[in-house]
Amino acid sequence: MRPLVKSTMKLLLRMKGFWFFLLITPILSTLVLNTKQSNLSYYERSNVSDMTELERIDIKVAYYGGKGKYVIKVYDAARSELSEYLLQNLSESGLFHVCRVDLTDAKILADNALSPEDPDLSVKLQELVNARIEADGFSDRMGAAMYIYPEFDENLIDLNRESLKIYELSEDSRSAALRMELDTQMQKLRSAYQISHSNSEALSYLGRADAATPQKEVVTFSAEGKRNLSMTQVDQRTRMGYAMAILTLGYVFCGLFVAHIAIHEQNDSVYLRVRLAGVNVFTNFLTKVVTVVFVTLMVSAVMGVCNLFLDVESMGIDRVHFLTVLTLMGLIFSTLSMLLGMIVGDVMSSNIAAFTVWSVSSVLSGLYFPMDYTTDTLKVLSGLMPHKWFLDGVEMILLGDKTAVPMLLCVTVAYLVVIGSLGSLGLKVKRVDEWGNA
Amino acid sequence: MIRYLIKNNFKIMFRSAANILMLIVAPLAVIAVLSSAFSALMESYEDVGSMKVGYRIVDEGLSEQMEDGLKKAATQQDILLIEYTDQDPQELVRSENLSGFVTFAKGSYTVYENEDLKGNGQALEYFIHAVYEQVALQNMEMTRSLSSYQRFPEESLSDDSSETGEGSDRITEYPVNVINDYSVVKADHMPAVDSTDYYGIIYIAYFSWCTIVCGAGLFSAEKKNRIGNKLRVSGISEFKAYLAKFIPLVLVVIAGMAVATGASIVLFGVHWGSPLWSFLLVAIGITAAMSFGLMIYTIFDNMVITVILVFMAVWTWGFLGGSFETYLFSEMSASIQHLSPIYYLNRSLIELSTMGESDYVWRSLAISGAMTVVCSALAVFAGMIRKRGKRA
Repeated sequence: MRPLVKSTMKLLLRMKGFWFFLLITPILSTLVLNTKQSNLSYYERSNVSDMTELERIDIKVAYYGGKGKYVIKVYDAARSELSEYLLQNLSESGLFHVCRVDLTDAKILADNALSPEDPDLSVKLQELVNARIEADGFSDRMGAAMYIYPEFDENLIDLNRESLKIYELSEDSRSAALRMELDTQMQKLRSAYQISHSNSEALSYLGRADAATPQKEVVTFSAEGKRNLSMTQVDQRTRMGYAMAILTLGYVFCGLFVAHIAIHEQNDSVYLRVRLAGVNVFTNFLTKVVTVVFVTLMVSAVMGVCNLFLDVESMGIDRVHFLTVLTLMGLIFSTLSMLLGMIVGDVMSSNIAAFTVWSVSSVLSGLYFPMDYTTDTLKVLSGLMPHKWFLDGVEMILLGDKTAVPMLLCVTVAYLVVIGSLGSLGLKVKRVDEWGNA
Repeated sequence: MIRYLIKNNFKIMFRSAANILMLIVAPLAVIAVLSSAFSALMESYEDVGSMKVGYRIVDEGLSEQMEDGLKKAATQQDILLIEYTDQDPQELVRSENLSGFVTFAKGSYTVYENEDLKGNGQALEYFIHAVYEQVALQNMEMTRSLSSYQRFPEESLSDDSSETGEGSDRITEYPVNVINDYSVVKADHMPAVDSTDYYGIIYIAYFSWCTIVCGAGLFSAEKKNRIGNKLRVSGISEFKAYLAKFIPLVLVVIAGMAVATGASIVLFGVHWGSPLWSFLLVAIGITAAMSFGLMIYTIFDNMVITVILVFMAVWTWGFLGGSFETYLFSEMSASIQHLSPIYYLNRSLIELSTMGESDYVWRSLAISGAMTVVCSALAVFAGMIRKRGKRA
């Protein structure tokens, strides 16, 4: 058996494609894992309930409406205590999600070639906001945008001048509720000012009035149980999902190259010669499985080396757990692609089949986006995908659940048993002499 | 001669009909998955209609007067308030099929929202919030009226229909409502597209870029029977040999995609925009994709490498161009998105579907057309070099 494994490995190492996937996919995965960007988990933004501060003027807000909230992108050129009060109350109303761009922030101004000292700042800000809202209308999604004028505080008490402007960017019927809420809140601000005669007094009065109003508590519940990950952990899981998707491609193709060798051996009657040499079919098949295990370990080893360049804390998972998860996942996919390739029996078709397996499994298992809000049928299909369980395992490890590794071991064994059984059945059905099943 | 080759190539392609079938089935499967997965995220708001809400008053958390007022306000908003004195609120929501539940305690209230009934919880939360805010405002107004100093005369609070602010070409200003000291304008925007229409259109476009695999049967037959050598002997030009493959491939893929599009319209109800422009965009996209694939195949002379490289390129273009995450939601900068030819195609098709027109139609046609010409020229050139190499 050892000479057969050795010869298969030699053939593999001569393949350029094998080296490509062996080296490139772990490097790409490492690059993804090394991303410093936070809020990668755009899909989870819909869970955020507080007002969101946007660091750039061009950040999109579409995902904040994921739970059905009416999203308002606010271009706040005043950034006063009164505008803050107004926006906080809007976002606490339960119906709206406020995303604010602070147009008094020096960095945001500098990013847009503006200076706080510019005498025409007010005019230029309005032009900037108009240009931005044109883009928002066609390349983002929100209920409305709002521009709060720099002179918000002064204009609030001078009713002949506008304090803010609403740009409706949807046909959402809740725009009427926004206008009603604005009427109420601005009237509150004005009344408080009339009673107390100064901004600070007005705010303090409003604070006392709000304290006298019953405080709200919201309890949300769902029929389904979900893990509570922090936003950082959600980011880490999202990065891990992308990295797993890329690395899976490596495992799939490395397993497929073993299948290519088997197909060529079959076509060149190598099996016949091997059988004549006294090696039975099962041992022959086992050599391919052992080769696949070696190949999986090789990809994981390259990933392990690349992993040394990663910051464990930012990953959220220690190196041993990380490599264990990937190796177990790799075992499933490389074995699956090898068997699939051998059953298909044609290099070209096996490539397409492996690529399809990778694409379908990645999408259905939720590596790119959660499957929480999809139909029950798709959820069941998602449960059949190996990636889904490994992503669950990652979540468990992130939350410090010690049962994650045993669970993943069980999952791996279960999948290997199923793949092995279905694979041998498939080979039997194919009834190819060279596999010894005729 | 070329007509005979084209006819023959058609026949060979239909011998490996599995690939063509996959190109019809695969988009339909992906459309089904993605339109379902993103349906909640991309759906437009619909009024929740009438609601049945449970409530409980704990420790006299709500006065009788307030309770009556709340009920009256609820009736106006088509909300039926039903009092429950015991049982767990979450259980009641499930067992009594309630839209939500509120408990009123002294100094606080708790809103129970069922996440599975999206919209209902928010509407209920906002309703209670609005009632308390109105009460707070009335109290403040009363205090203000009682105070001797009135800084703002009441008449200045009346509606003012004047508009201020600088307009822009695409922001049509009209006074929807001008209340107090803010104005509301309706800005130009793309109507919301739902996940079925988005992914139903996008995945026809995406798979039309992966269609080089349709040529697998043709290419392997050519290699097996050494057609290349025979054509060299016949003296047919490289350009004609290229067209003999390009034309049948493009026609077969266009036919396949037309079937997939028809099936997606029937099965999922996908709404396409202008049929003529949409067809032209996808068809020119297919010529670009096919010439790109043929160029790679001619350079490497290996179908496996061709499929891997083409799929990787298309995946990258699709990733940048909104084939997986919608281009509307993607945080990718516009300059990076513009590097993808698929982005122009996606955007023009979606805008045609939602608005009936798009500034991106001509750009997409120009880019796909330019790709077709350049890649075809390179494929012919590479073929000529290979031919010379073999002669030498």
